[in-house]
Amino acid sequence: MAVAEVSPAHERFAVPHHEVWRGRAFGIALESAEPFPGLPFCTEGPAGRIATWHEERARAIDDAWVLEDGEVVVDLRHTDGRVFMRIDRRDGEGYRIWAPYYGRHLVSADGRTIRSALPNVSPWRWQRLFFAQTLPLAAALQGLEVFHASAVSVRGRVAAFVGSSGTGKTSVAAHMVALGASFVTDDVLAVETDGDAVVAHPGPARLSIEDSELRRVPDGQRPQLGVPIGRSDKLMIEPAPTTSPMPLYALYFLKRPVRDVSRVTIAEVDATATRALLGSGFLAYLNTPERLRNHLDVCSAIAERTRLYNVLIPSGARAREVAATTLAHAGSAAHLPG
Amino acid sequence: MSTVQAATNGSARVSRALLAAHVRVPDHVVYRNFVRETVVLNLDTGRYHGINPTGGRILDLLTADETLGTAAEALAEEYQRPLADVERDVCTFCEDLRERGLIEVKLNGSR
Repeated sequence: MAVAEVSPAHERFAVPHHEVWRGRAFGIALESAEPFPGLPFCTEGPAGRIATWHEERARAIDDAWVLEDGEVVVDLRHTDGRVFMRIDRRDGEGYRIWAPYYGRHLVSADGRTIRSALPNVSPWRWQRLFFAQTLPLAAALQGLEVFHASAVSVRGRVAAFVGSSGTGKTSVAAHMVALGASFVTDDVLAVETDGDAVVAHPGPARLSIEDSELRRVPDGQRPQLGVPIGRSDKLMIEPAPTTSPMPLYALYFLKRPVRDVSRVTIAEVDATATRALLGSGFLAYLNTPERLRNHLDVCSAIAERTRLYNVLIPSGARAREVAATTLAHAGSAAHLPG
Repeated sequence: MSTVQAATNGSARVSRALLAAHVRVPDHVVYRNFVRETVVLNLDTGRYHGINPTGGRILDLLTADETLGTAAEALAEEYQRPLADVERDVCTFCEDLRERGLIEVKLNGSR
């Protein structure tokens, strides 16, 4: 499949020379020898949370990790049996993440060191695995709670979207950005509590959207989404990165399709919200007692201190309609005291 | 997540010894109150258990060092129900939690 290659990231995030470059996403700083495409530059790690990244040869990664010694915690296969993605764990040492054509990564048990062997493809392509799995794992190992969610900010506060696959989390977020919200993250949201607040951390500047969905964004609004940098099964866009953590003020559960409504409707959550919230955690294989306790604590804080809504979406409703309704709701809700 | 209901038709045998017992939440169990339910998490198994608001209230009382008996008295007052019924419900609820490994019941006032 043809790949449209534009790589503006280095230029956009270029900074004066530093001995160590630091970029930020998911509430941690990534230190590397060179600027890391897709990560906004930062001067220090949030709350001292830093992961050091080293690029190495595949042989070095394979020598450092004998597969038979680990426990397989994720083994996703194509229908013909080929490996799609595999994650192994070794107690006390960490995790190995591997997806053919997307690279292999070793993440130390404390999440502070990442060693990667990269395939010979454009950065945006191998970064799909790195930003979807490797960096969220490093963040979670450093105490951040990660959710399967997309998010935007409205008036300086974050609205996040959770829902099962196919409900349109990314599409709704993309249309909201096109309509004036600010991009926060696509697919993985890092959250922590800070006193009485629940804080949402921006993800990397990457948004992966279906071509068909992008075509529904009016031409005049497409620049709001960012710069296209590549295409595989979806179009990869580099949105303007949000650089600061912000309070999470609303969580929207996308429910699709709902038969009892004729148009997109935002309603108070029902008794299933607690389970939906607990079930929206990301990296389910990370099930240490510390992580389970933290997940419960953060979910409890979200339930207590943020607003939870169901977005009831009738069959056939477009993501753009959902985005417009939710943006209007989020904009008015953001006026309310926290 | 499984559900533990604080029933209104408990079937546990009520005894003086049980009513005098205290309850302890083991170190491998944590619980947090949500808006419409209390979630109990077994850290050893990673399994969540949902408890309805009445059950959450019972758990709050029992972990505040009440005995099953004094907790039942408080609940009977709060909900304006016959004490004997509430005692039976509290004992049934605690038996359910104990069988799931979510609480330890300390008989004879022992801690």
